[in-house]
Amino acid sequence: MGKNKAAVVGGSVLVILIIAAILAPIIAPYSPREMSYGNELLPPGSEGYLLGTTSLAQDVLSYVVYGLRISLYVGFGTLLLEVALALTVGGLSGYFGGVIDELLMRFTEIVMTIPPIILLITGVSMFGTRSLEIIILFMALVNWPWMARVVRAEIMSRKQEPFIEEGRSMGFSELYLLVRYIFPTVLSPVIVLGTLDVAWFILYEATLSFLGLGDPTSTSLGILVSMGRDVLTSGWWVSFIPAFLIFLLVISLNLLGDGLRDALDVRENV
Amino acid sequence: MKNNKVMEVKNLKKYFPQNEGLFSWDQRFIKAVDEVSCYVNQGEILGVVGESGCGKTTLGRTVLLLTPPTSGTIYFQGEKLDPNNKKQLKNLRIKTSLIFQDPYLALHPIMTTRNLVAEPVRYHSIIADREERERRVEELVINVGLTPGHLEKYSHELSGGEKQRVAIARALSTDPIFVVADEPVAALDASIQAGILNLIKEMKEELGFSCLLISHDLSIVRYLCTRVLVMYAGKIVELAEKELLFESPTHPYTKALLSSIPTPTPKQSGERLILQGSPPSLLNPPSGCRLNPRCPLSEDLCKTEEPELTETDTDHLVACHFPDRPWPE
Repeated sequence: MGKNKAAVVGGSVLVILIIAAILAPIIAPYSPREMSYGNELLPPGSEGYLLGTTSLAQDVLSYVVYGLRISLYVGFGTLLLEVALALTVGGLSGYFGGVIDELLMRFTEIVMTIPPIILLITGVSMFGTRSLEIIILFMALVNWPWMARVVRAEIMSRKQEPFIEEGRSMGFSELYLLVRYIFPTVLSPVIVLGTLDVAWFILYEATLSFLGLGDPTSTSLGILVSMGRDVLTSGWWVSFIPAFLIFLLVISLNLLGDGLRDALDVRENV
Repeated sequence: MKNNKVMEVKNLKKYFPQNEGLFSWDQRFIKAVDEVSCYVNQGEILGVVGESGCGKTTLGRTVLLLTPPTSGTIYFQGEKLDPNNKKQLKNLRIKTSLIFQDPYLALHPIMTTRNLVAEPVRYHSIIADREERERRVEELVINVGLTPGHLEKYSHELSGGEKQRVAIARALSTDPIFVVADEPVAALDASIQAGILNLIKEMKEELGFSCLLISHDLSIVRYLCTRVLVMYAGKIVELAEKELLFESPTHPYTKALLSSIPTPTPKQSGERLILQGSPPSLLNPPSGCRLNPRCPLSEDLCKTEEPELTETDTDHLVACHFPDRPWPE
């Protein structure tokens, strides 16, 4: 019961944040990087600058609503790519078994042995120009194996069920059975795992941006946190507000994911 | 004569390899179906009876090539089937159907009745026109005794009997000429079994398909079938016209099986013939006649030599060395 309420709260906060990101041009009084000289480091509540300004006289409110867009774009973009990879590898592996399964699973395990954060940092640094898409690509490349293993295990148990054989007796092709008969029934664990993963992706991107490995042209929340580091004593809000938004995003996704796990009755070991 | 046989199998064998330990050299096999030959005539229902584990379900699945036979030949409409011939297999899938025992497990859990029934027709492009297809689906759903109100329901919203009706509508949607019904009512409440059986009978008369009906329930077989095949431990022991089989069973196993039918008037029912022991393991069936360790008529010959399936009467095949001997007192 308690978990259900928590999930509803998490879901609601998430929806509010998503709406805020969609309505960013309406909510933001200024363009996110616009500097107005003379208004450096105004505290929250100042006239015209509800959440204060940075040491470069940028409006924090305008910055963070656009920053939300970046976080959500990276989080859900990575999720899409991760799910596509996991369903392909896990699906083929679990459904066809045998040699295909052996090869794909050994490959998956090799990817899993690489420390994610190191591969991520190396991968992103390899490119001269940094873009969000490159970050998305590498985060998905690092994280799909865990989801693929869940998909594989789920499919291996699903494919034994009589309704698959019933479909086969109707003359449906194996690929059709996999996509239309098996994938829909493995969606619940993918949704649960995916929700929790989105939170990780948002954190990863913010971390990379904080370390200066993100897209420097973006209005990432991580960049704003990093900018505020130099003025922590005189202008705590510059770091605190974007950090708090990251916290809100991550905790609401986690609450929602846990609630969905219960609601969709996914076994605990997922 | 040959043209009348919709489905025929000759010397069909299905062995499942059994993996022993890692270091075991000799591969062992579960002989689920062993040297079975039979046929189904146009428009008839051939009943297959036997205890659970005697290979009747495997026979039904192998006949439809849902699992490849170990050896033997299968003829569909007089044409020899080749498991590697994709085109032929597609034709077989369209023109045959399998009705499963448990409709709770055999229907896609997240599809509506409308989609379930329309899917095979759409997949095989039997009716290309969308509206015409919808009409056909609605007609079928009504024909199997459901209402248009059931069309938008998901399978988990239906009762067991309704599910089996949907499964039958789906099986018949491609207008098959041969249907295997594998224990179609065994998973259902006794109160709705009769309705489903009558439905199969009606649909058969209306659409004219032939049917292989697998059941362990002799009264169902008696009610629906034209001819009956009795299986024991992967082999046919007796095959005859229904009347003949029920009036004058010849094989000791058939006799024992028939005497086990419960009757509404227990006092008038005949003597209960009991076979001692239980069916043998299909991994290692007894030599000679497979019934010999349990059979009260068994002699030395039965232990060494396997009886052939021979014709004792017109259209009455029995695999027993001593078909004429009466049951001992």
